[in-house]
Amino acid sequence: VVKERDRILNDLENVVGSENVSDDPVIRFAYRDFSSVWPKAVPDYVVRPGSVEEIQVIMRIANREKIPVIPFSAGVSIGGTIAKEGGILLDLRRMNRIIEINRESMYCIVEPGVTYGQLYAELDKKYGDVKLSIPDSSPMCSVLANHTQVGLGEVHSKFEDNPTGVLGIEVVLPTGEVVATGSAAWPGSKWNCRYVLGPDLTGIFLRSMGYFGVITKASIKLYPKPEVSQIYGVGYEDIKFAIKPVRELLQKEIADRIVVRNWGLNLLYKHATVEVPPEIGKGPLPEELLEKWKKETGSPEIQLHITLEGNKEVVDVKERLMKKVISKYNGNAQYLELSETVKRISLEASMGKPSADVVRSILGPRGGYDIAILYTWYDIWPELYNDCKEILRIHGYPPLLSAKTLQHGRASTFRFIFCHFDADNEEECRKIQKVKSELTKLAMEKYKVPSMGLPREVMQQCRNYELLKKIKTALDPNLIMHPSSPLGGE
Amino acid sequence: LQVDLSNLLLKCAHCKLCYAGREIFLPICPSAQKYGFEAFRSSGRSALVKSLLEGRLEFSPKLAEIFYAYTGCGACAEQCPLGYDAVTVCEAIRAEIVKRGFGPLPRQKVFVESIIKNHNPYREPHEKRTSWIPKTLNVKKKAEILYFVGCTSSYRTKNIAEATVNVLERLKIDFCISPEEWCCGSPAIRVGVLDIVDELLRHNLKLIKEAGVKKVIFSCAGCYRTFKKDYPRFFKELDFEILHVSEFLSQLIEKEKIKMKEYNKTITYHDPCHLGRHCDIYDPPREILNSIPKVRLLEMPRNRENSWCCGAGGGVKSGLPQFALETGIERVKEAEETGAEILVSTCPFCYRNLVDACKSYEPKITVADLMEILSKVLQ
Repeated sequence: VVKERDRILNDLENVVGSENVSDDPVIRFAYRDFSSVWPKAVPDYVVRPGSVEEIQVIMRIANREKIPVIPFSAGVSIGGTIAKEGGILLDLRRMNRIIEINRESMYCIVEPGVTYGQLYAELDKKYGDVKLSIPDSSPMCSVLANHTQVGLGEVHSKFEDNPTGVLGIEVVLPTGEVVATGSAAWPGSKWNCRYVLGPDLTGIFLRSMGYFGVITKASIKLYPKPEVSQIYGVGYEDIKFAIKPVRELLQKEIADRIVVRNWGLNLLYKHATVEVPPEIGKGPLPEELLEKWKKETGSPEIQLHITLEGNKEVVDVKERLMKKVISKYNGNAQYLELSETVKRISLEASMGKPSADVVRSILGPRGGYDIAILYTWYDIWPELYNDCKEILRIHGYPPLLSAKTLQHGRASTFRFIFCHFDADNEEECRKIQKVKSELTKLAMEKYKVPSMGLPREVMQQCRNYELLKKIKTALDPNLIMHPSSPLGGE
Repeated sequence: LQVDLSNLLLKCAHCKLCYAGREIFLPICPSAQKYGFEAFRSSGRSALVKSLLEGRLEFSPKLAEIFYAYTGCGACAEQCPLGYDAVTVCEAIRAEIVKRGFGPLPRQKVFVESIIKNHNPYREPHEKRTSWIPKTLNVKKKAEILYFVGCTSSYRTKNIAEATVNVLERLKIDFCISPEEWCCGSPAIRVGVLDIVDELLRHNLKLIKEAGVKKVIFSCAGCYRTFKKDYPRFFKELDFEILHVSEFLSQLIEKEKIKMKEYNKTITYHDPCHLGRHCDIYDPPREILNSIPKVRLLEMPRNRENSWCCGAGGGVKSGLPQFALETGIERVKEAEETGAEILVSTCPFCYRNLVDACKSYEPKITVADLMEILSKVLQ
């Protein structure tokens, strides 16, 4: 076994150099930890490729040896890079070049190691008038990973989620070939069009969580920066009163961004710069304590954070129209004085500036962070919200809701946040996993609302599963890519 | 000096904010930049510490290599939203590494032995500690203010000690220097050799007491940090004031309206980690530079809390000299790009490493200590 291991290590060293590969436990264990509830695991090898060509050779070695491969872009993921079956962890941070910023055609091409912070700084230096759609994540999050996988950027209400902003990609397939999609498929072309040269092959790789190949470049849309961005807080005591105004504000394109939060999340943001109640995340929480906190925050049950963007004249007009819509549906709406932190985060988001305050607001001194994400629609908000709250109450977790609205009110996410737990404490993690599964089960079975991060047995019930499996087998005959994922090795 | 890691080991949330400067998003971690693997980053080291404490991982030479490949600059700790004190945790792990026989690094052992034998890490005879003092200067042995020179300026960057004394003399400050000064203990503490520290500290405190000193001033950021942060870990009550010379002089310049000659130069200032991030002293050196007529102070993109380390600290200059040099070169290049003529610092150890960096590629910028500039402009 040792000889076998040495031989593979030697092969990998020949590709990337001995300084960029290791099977030493100390190097490997540093990749074990992350903030979510998923079981922690350690890879067999860590490899730091510096080029597409190197990745090609690594994939061929992995295929020959039938070793799992797990791509790792910036390591901010809350569960995407788990080396559950061991294998090769590809740390892609050496590949951190911004290949192109095309101001005229409003896109940029990045490698996996480029972070939102890095790209923002470059855009700001060269072109002050364009921005990227930044997610509610750490500024150190990988642009490529977030945009091609699960990101919900700040343009969610105006357009869609971040994968919609991907125009084309370059991928090293599990068997080592390199392909490009969209207009990038034509050598020498700009990477500015997604739907050309045949069917949309980009889409196959988006949200695939690294099980169809290693994405080595992505072309990402840029957007114009607004001159002015103004945020308004509107509170309701019942989520049902929020539905109609939200829908109208989106469908009439009055609001540029609407985030729906409940009092629980407001509690976290209120405490962003001070001590968070130590009871959060330790559960079970007594109901009376929850009620006490709710009163302390002074928050109504639900807050709409409505952002209006444009130049001053446009924002003034939008403000008048927004107020008209709010008063039209009444619902005892109250305008709220938002905290400076919330105002700053919203303004920076509008300008495409990633904010460390987002991280500071949510993380606590116990580090754990996880989310249950449901893709829902507006009519079922009240019932779904109350049912989810009830599940959380039974298990003693405060409801921490952040709902993001998608373009024209077509859909919204319901994200229930779990934080301030110890991600290394198996019992705590198992408990949260159980609550997450109950939320997902409720959403999928009772409301037919799809969720993310589903286990294989649930994925198997989806009507796209067989096709996904066929694609997986065709692209990855030895099932080496990310085998712990729902579409991974059998 | 034992550290309770359970109190320090806050749970890292792997947000990776520790790699980039706040608001500027530029790399600030020399170790991450040089070695790349997660283990050489604060988030990875915190994972390793957890694995050590929970018995998944054992102490080994590789672990020692990783924990010694850190300048102790504290750039990561400065950014951490959870307040993870990477410097203290790393030093505690180094102490454990030493206990188990995996550290310090071979070249660091040499300076540790010299501290034991000569009371300085430079293998120089103790008797020559004050040989830099000009014969014309009549330095007192007792006064209310003690200038603690430090080993680096006593034996290697004597120009800084000379300039400091020159400035103090010209400002008619009543100060003393002790020929019996010993190493402050910083090099040993930084590399985890704690069993020799107690004697060093006791000796220095004794001579301060015997000289009847009320105020100790330092031109070395490393010694200053050690007195300010480490001595109180041993001896809770220190009955004298601790000031970096830039703090001391900036107060004086403001109060006494000290006259200075014009100095028509563009200068950029490098924040020593031990002075800036470790002790929160950012403004006094800048205030002094800004008070010199005709000086134009230009900031590097990575300044103050976001400063890029000079590369020398934490035992790296002796233990991993190539790493120290590469880190220093990056800093000099950054300084050069501002267009400044002089790169000024307030630490002889930073000065040494930055000068060494300059020797390797001859940049269009020179390195100076703040005291050297001040000694030129005081009227």
